[in-house]
Amino acid sequence: MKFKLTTLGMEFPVLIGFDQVAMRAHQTAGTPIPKPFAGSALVDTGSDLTCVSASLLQQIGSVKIASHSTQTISGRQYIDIFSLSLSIPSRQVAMFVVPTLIVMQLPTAIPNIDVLFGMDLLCQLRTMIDGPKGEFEFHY
Amino acid sequence: MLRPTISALELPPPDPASDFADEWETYRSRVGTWLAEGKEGQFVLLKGKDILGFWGDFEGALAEGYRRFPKGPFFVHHVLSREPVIRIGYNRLCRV
Repeated sequence: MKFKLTTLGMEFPVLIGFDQVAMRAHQTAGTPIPKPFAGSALVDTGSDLTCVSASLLQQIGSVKIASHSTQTISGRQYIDIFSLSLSIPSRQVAMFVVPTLIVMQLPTAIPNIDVLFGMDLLCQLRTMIDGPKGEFEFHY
Repeated sequence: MLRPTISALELPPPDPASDFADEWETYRSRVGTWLAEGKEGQFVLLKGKDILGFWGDFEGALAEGYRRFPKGPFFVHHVLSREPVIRIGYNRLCRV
């Protein structure tokens, strides 16, 4: 799947929703499963785990499953941890889907970005950047 | 990918304001015993100071958490002797 580099960097669309385990739990309970939410992701090689904005987590209604002490450039912070599913939609190839993914809540909001795509996911893909063409590609 | 780690016996105290302050304190105080009992690699489910069980995979612990507390929160943690240090990179943005 191929995307254009933007002024922010390696930015691309994602779908975020309940994780597979939560979906099964909702199915069993007979409660409705909300559709995944569309958002904008930015590759961040400095993040070990993928991060999701507080506003998107709230929209999804995701359940908090832990907190973790985290090292940021501005010091140590406690960050809330959630479990979600993440997909990269594509018209060219089959969708990249992670049915159950541990994510952190973004400590501070980033304008126009809902997801920081961290090394946990980047390591599942082969990534090629074509700087002169202003494009990047994910292969999996 | 190699990540920096710290010993599970040197975990920092929880943020008292955190929703999981009790869970973290319980985890910190018990992890040494669990490691000695051979529970390394398992996933523990905690709620407050209650230890609700151990599972061999994350999904198992998560499913039990959702079953007991559909609206959450609940605390699932991987029992490890070396705890990975998690970094967030975007905060290094410069300001002008």
